[in-house]
This record gives sequence, C-alpha cells and structure tokens, in this order.
Amino acid sequence: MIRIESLVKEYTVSARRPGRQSRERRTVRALDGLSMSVARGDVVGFIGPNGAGKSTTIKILSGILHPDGGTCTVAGRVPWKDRIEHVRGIGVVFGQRTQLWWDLPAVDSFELLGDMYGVPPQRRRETVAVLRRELDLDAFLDTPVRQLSLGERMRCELAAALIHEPPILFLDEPTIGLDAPSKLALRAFAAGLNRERGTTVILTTHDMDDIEALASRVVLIGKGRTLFDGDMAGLRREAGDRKRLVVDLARGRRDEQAELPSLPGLRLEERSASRLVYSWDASNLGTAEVMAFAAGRLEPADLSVESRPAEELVSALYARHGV
Amino acid sequence: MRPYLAAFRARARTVFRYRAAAAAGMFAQVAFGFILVMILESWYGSAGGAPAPMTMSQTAAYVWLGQAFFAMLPWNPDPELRDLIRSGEVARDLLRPLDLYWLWFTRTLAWRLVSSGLRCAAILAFAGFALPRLGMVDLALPAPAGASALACFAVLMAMAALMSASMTVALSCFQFRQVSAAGITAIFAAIVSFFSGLTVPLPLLDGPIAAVAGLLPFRALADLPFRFWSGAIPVNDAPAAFLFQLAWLAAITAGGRVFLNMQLRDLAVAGS
Amino acid sequence: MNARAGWRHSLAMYGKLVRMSLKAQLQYRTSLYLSVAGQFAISVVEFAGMLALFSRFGEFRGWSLAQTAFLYGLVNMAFPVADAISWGFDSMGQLVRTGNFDRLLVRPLSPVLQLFGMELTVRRIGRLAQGMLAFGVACVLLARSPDSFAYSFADRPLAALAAVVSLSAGFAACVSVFTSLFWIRAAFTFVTVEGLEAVNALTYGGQQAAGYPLSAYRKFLQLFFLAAVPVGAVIYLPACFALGKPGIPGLPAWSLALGPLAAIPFAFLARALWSAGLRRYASGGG
Repeated sequence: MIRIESLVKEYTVSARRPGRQSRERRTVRALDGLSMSVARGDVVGFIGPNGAGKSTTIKILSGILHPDGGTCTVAGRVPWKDRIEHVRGIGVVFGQRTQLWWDLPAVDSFELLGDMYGVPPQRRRETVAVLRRELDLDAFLDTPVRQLSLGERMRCELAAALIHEPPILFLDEPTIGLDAPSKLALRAFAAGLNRERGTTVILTTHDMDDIEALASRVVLIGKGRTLFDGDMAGLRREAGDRKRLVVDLARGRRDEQAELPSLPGLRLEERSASRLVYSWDASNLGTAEVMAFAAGRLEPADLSVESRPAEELVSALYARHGV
Repeated sequence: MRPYLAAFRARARTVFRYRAAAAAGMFAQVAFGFILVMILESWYGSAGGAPAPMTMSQTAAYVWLGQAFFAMLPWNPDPELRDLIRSGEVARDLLRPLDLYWLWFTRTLAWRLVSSGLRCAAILAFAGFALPRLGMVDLALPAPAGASALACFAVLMAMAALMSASMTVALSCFQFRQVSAAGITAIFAAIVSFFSGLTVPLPLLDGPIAAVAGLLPFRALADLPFRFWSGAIPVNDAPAAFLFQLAWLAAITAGGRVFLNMQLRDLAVAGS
Repeated sequence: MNARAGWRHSLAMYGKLVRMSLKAQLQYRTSLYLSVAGQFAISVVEFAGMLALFSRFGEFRGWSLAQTAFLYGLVNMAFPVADAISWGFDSMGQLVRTGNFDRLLVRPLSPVLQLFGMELTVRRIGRLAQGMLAFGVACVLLARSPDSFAYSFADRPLAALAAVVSLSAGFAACVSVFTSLFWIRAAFTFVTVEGLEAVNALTYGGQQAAGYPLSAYRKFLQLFFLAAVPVGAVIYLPACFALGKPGIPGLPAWSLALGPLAAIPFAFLARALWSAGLRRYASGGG
C-alpha cells in the first residue's frame, strides 16, 4: 500500500541572531534515508521525539511536501506528482488544525467536502449517517464548529476526513489536548474502522497509549531514519524490558534475610515498612519464577506485577539512540 | 506609577520585534504620500476656482506629516488588547492590583508611539531631504515655519498621541462585543482617516462637511498640529487648539473608562 | 475526468464554496450591516469631499467633474469587486503561519480555487457603493452634456461601440489587475509573512492613483502605472479614448482602446510568481 525508499528531505532554516545584521542559514536534514513499507490494513504508529521527521513523513505521504531524494508510492501513486488524484484516496486529520468551516455547523462542511470529492449525495448521506452513529455526533452536528469543545470538534474532523471513504487514513497527533473519554472514543473508532473496513491507518503521536490501543506496528523515527520497526512487544525487548513486582507485606514479623533477592538477575529496588519492590529483565527471568520466589519466602498481603510504563520505555530508547 | 511604566516599556519592546512590518509600512506610506501630494499638486495647478486657504507648500507639509504619523492615528484596535479580550485572558489583567483603564492606556500609548516613531523619522527624512535633491522641490516637506511653530507642533502632537491612545482603548473595548466588533472597527477607520484630514486636507473642504469636521475631535489628531508646522495657523492660536484637545481628551478618557467598566460588568455577569 | 468536466466541476465547486462563505458571513449579521452601512455613509462623505474640491478648484487638469467622477467611479467599483473575490488571498499570511494552508493541499481541488472560494466578502458592498455613487453621478452629468464623449453612436457608431467595449473590458481588466496584485501578495507569503504591508502601496495605492487621471502624476509614476503595475493602462487609457483626452501624447487615439490588454501579461506574471511560491512551499523552504 505504501512504500518508502530512502526518503531524504532537507530544510534551510535561516535564523537571525539578536544583534547581528546577517541571517545565518543552515541546512537541517529532517529525513535522512527513511525506508519502510506499509501493507493494506496495517495500523502503523509513528513515534519519535519532536523534530524527528514524523510530520515531514506524513506531509510527504499526503502530497504536501516534495522530498529532496528517494521515492515513495502510496497506492501505486507518487503523492507529489499527481496530487489531486492522490488525495482522493486518502483522509487526513491534523490534530491542531481544522478542516471544517469555522462559523458553520459541521454538517455543512460534510456536504461540501462530499461534493468536493465527487461523492454522490445519496452515498454521502449514507456515510454521514453511519459516522453520526459511530462517532456519536448527533448532539452537536448543527452547532457552529467554533462553539464545539475540542473533543467534539475532533470527532467531526475525523468524520470530515472519512466522507469520501478513503482506504488510507493519516492521523497526525489526533489526540493532542483531548480529555480522556474523547481519546478513548477516538481510539475505539479508529480501531473499528481498521477492523471492519480494512482501512490502513498511519498515526503519529506522542501518547504511547494511542500506540498500545491502536497500532499493530510501531515505527520509531529519529534523526530522519527508522530506528525501530516492529510490534509493541518487540519495542519492549529492544528497550530492555524490566518488570517490577510490588509486594505489600502482611503486618507482623519480618525475615530480613529472606527478603534478599536470591534469584540471578533479580534486584531489590525498594524496601519500606510495608512494601518491597523487585525488578528484573523480562528476557532473562520468567515472571512465574519470581512469583514463586515471592510466595515461598515472603508473607505477602498483595502482589502485583507491573510492566515498565511505555512512556519510560520510549524515553529510554530515545536516550539510547541519542535522539 | 512604576507598574504603568513597566507596561509601557514591555509593549514598546514588542513593537520593535516587528521592524520588517514597520519598514514595509514605511514604503507603503511613502507611496501613498507621493500619490496624494501629486493629486493635490494637480488640483493646485488647475485653472479657476476660489483661492486655496493653504499654499501648495503648506499642503505638501500636511500630506507628508499625515503619512509620517499615520501609525499614530487610532484607526485600528490594539491587536494585543484584541487578542487578550478574544482569548478571555483579560481575566488575568483583572487580577492585577492596577487600574485596568490606565494599564491599557499606557500599553496602547507605547504601541502607538513606538510604531509611529519607527516610521516617521525615515518618512520625514525622505520627504524633507531626499525629495528636494531628487528635483521635486514643490512636492517636498518644507521645514517648520519657525522655532515656535515647531514647538507648537510638538506639544500638539504629544496631546494628539494621548488622544489617540484614549480613542484606541475605547475602540478596543468594542472587541468585547464580538458580533459587531469588525463592523465598528471598519467604520471607525474610515471616519478617522477622513475627519483627521488624511484623505483630503480639511482646509480644502467647505460647506457642511467642513463644519462637521470642525466639530469632531479627529482633526485634533492630525490636521491641527500639521497646520502649525507649516504656519498655516499662526502660533497665537496655539492655546485655543490646545484647549480644544484637552477638552476632548478629558471627555474621551472619562467616556472610555465608563465604557470599559460597563463591558467588564457584562463580562462578570456572563460569568466567563 | 476530461478537461471540460473538470472545468464544470471547478465552477460548480466555486459556487458551492461561495455559498458556504455567504452563509458563514451571515452568522455575524450585526457586524455585516454595520460595516456596509458605515462604509456607505463614509463613501458619501468622501465623495462629497471630492465635490468640495471641484467647487473650489473648478476642474482637475482639464478634466471636468463628470469626467473625473466617471474614471473614479469605474476604479472604485473595480477595486472592491477584486478585494471581495480575493479575500482568501488576503488571509494567506495567516494560513501559512498557522499551517492551515496544508489542509487546502490535501483536498482534490486547486488551492487557488479554494482560496478564491474561501470568502466572497459581502462587507465590500459598502465600498462598492462609493464607486457606484460616483459613477452614477458621472453618468447623469455626462448624459446632460453629450459632447463630453468623443464619439456618439449617431456620428461614429463604430468608434462609439469600440469605446463601450474598451471601457467594459477595461473594468474587467481593472478587476483582474487588482486581483493579480492580491495574488502576488499571496505568493510572497510563501517566502515571508513579514513586510507584506509593502504590497499595500500597490493595491490601495493603485486604487487611489488610478481613480484620478494619470496625467496628474509625474512621469515616473505615470510610467509605473502604465507598464509595471498596469492599473492605469487598463482603465485610464480606455477612459481617455472615450472622453477624447490625449492619454499618451504621440500615440494614435485608437491604440488607447487597447489598454485593457495589459491585464493579460500581468495575470500571467502573478500566476508564475504564485507557482514559484507554491513550489518553494512544497519543497519546505518556508
């Protein structure tokens, strides 16, 4: 569906230093030979720190930017060569911008966008009816967009991007600034879209929960290159997946000697009056063994195993790759 | 006094950041000045009619001063106040232990003074020094009619700046009424540019429009001081002009405060 | 899609976009009515100012009140029309700064058409009224003294027809030149969003300059508005032809009727600059 081969994109930034006359120009390489491919029906999440090249990639894929090197095809077309035909087949949601006519109800925008994409009115009405139901738009569809909350607006944005039923959907930081229920609704909807209609979804985000809830594949972009490409479990392995066991102790006598970690690779991270925390590398030591250790030698009131939070995981990865 | 000075300085600094805009504005103003002064030269060169109340040279002074001090006229609301009101951040200003009116007044004054200050020197230099050397002596800005004329001009311009700031604050207050703000701004801009003399020098008008222009406060922003520069009004008349400005300044400031407080009360009632 | 269906689709889309923009503007009715009414009132005052100047000076470089108002009216009708249709270009600076221009590029429609359709500014009716007022007064005055026109349909039907055609074309060309200027200004926003005020010298300045006979200005300014930014060429020259004024001394009278053609190369210039700007934007040089 999407094939990207050694894509290169450079920007010239000119900055005027305070107090100096001349502008300083320098070239920044936003993409430095990025390659990857996406199959039909994939949900791919792009992650990476700010300035890594995520948005640049989306902009190239949606035909807005021309790359300086490399090639890419989306559904067999080169996006920037035949922009108008290309954009008929994609839907794009930019998290911080709007597609909708600000002063009018969203339903008017839907109608106009339908005409713009050449969707027959009957077909448009059916699509809108489905979207209204699935995104729960009925309550505010007739309110001018400027009066909607961000969550309501994003649901309308999503609907607007789907009026022409594109087989590919680009979501550029769609959950930014949303409240929790709106985030959940948006993720559930996108997942359903992929499951039921087989829509290919490309998503950029800083919110790892988006990735965990949606993406079957994670692509870590840094310094304009692909640093990691695989599933979430793979990403955990890559980052060094340490798990934690939190033991809440029953009141009473404690055997300090028995509390020492006796398994190879097990570390005691915290020891307090009522709680012990152990950690270990999940690739070397099984959770079952650790549980057995805890149940055998301690008197736990409660046990819980925690994976490392995804945010921490990617931060460690960014740090490792120096991005 | 100190917090108001700080507000003044802060606003002045932000204007400096838009030097490119000021340069572009200057270019546009010079072009407008050229067109206007040549049109007026053509009027003066046309045969017949009643004798004009100003000489061509005085008219040229009037036109160029108008272009130089254009940014000082209250033709638009302060963009910073507009954004403050629209975004609802006005609430933050209300938390300060200061009089909101005078806080806004000083900020607006800083904006008007600095943005016109940035432009006027270059325009005056072009019209006063470059034009005669380019062989367009008739179109050039003449020197002030004398030291006392220049002094009168300076004092009246300072008063004009204060008047302009008070009018701008009042105009900015209309931004609270979002439904009509754009319309009122547009009307106000047109009224200011005509009745201050920027479109047609007011002394060249006669009949009922001239009478209306004479009553309105806008001529005190440009027309009055400009005519002192070229000696079209004798220095002896300066006290009267000053009193005219003072009276209007007091009236607009008082009215503006009442208006602002009304808007704030509505804001509190609306609960936003 | 073949070219003709493409055109029809584009035209239909323009119509729909304009309808949307009108609907949106009616959301702020109070503001709209106020602007239109206010602009109209001030138009009357400005025109009265012109009348006052005529009563003081008698004529303008050999042009009577009727003749001057005729030219002034045409230009001051053309400018608000151009301004109203190209409001989208005016908002380019903001679109580029906020990144919202991108959303135009992910739609299957030319961004130029989308910008044209972004808003047909109803507010400009107030300004248009000023031009219509001047033009109306001019027509009434000219009808009373038929010899103000160089040719009459009774004596020289062909020349009179040529004058009418040339003036109509001149009006359209004048709209085109102003629109091109807004377009050029929009093209510059791809390079810089600062300093666009300089182009106002050409748009608003051009409106002001072209509203009076070009002979009012010194040679360099005349040349500028004839050749560089041809707002003068497209409307002043046809007016000279119709009113029997010399226009450009030394040129045969009939050639003045061809003035409106100057709008064509200027529109191409605007298009070329826009394409260059768009290429630059797409290559991320902004």
